[in-house]
Amino acid sequence: MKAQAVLGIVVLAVIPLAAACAAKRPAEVTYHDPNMDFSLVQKVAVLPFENLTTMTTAAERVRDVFTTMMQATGTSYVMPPGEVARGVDRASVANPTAPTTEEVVNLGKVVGVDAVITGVVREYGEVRSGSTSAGVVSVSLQMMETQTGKVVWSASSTRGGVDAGDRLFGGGGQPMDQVTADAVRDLLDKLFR
Amino acid sequence: MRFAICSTNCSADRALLAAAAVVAWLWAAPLAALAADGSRVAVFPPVNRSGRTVPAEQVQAALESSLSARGFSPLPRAELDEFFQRHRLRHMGGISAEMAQAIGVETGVDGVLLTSVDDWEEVDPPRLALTSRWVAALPDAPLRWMGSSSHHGHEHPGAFGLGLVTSPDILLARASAEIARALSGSVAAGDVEQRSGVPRPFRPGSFSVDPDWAAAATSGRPLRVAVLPFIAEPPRREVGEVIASQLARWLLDSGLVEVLEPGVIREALLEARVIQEDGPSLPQVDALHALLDVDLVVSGRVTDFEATGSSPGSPFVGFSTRGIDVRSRQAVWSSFSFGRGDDCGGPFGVGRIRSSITLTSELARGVVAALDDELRTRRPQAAGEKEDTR
Repeated sequence: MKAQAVLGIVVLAVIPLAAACAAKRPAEVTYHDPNMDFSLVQKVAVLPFENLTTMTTAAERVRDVFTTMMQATGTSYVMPPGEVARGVDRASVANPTAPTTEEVVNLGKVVGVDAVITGVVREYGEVRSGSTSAGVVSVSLQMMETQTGKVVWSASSTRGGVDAGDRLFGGGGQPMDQVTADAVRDLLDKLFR
Repeated sequence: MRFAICSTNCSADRALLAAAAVVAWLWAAPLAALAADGSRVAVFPPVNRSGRTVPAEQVQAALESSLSARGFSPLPRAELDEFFQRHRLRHMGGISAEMAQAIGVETGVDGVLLTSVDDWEEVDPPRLALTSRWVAALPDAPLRWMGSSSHHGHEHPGAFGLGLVTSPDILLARASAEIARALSGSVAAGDVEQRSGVPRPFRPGSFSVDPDWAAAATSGRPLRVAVLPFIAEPPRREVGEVIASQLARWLLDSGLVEVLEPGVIREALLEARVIQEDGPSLPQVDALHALLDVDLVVSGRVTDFEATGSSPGSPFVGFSTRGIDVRSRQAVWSSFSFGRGDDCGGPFGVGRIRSSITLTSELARGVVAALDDELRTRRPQAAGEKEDTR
């Protein structure tokens, strides 16, 4: 009877801890337009990402990795960034990081793409927990098709950070380039799922 | 002593004399072969891409001296300055087709040696990196050779730190001698090592090539490639040129393509008024095609470049590369590379790369090796397809 009581107390103590561990990374919701046939998206323009971090070049870095890795999947052709910049200029997009519906449609005509991808880099850099530090990246992306300017896909990904293993055994997490590549890979998996 | 030996007639003495003659011939043969070349060369003052104050005069003198020792005949400084004044030549980072022809005709040089100081640090540990290229003094300014030498004071510490170098002058002498040796055609041991396989960490993390373009690229004449300066964020914009020159170097070394002299490209960029903000746009690519008859325009962006790194002696470098085919007007090749100096380090730091330029060179070599592999795998397929159609 006494042993059962002790076991019960231990279980009750562990449940909140387990819940805390599970809640460490919040569920990242992905939206896919059910009426959209993504196989029709053959040409894509990746617009400059919004940067909400303190590192000035974070958005450019993430955009660069995303563009290259998306091209490497071979599923769709990604417009060269120089051509995208020219298109943004010609279509008179006021804020390339957050274009309006009309601007997306207009840009699609000017550059000749089926979809436009915008993004926000929410976190990029090193996080510290006690004596341990690790790289962390948090990115959210949106895809808008250029016929109507409607959002057809949206997803976010957070990778890196200090985990329990790093805290227990010391040492840092993965370097920034790998964390960025992981986050981008995760986003591409969500896009082509 | 030698006369004494000659004066004797004993067979042992004659054998000793013959052996000495053979040893002397073996020692002198390579030097004689190089000295026989006697190419006349204009050594241009080096361009500073290190972001620090560089003793350009000293670097130029060291190169001239090393080249002279290898049998080249550098153009006298006064004659070179006179040429610069006559043509109002101030940009030393490249040479246009017109200037290459003019210097050949007016001064009688066979080629021009253009050098950039990519890294320079006088404070202990010293660092130095030189990248040189040989442009023939002919109408099209053909780029014939590119080489690089980078050193770090702590690269070979040795037992009890006996191999540590504290003076940049020693590194300068070493680097200029290596450049001259590589240019003269004698392959150094280091170069042989460099031509071996690229370590996995220095291969691009992400790489894609359009298979149709790759198949077409392997047939017909070698592709003419213009490597544009990579886009780099301030305060070190010159890093973009460092990475572009390393990529051009390995593309040239691969023999896959014909790489255009950066001075010729610069002239065309100025003529077409191309200002890259995010890389070349398609009309800009068209303009380069019209002016230079290029097949592929290569550009990229530098995402990371840290000469010293987070821990001392561990540089890190990251960049993306993109190739635009001028005929299809599409990006046909893209890659992303990132590396750290300690990616290939063994125990006690053995094998660790301490120079950011060496690391950049390895990453650029990785990109070219990946491209080379892709083109080579497409080559038999292309041949096979042709056979099938026959």
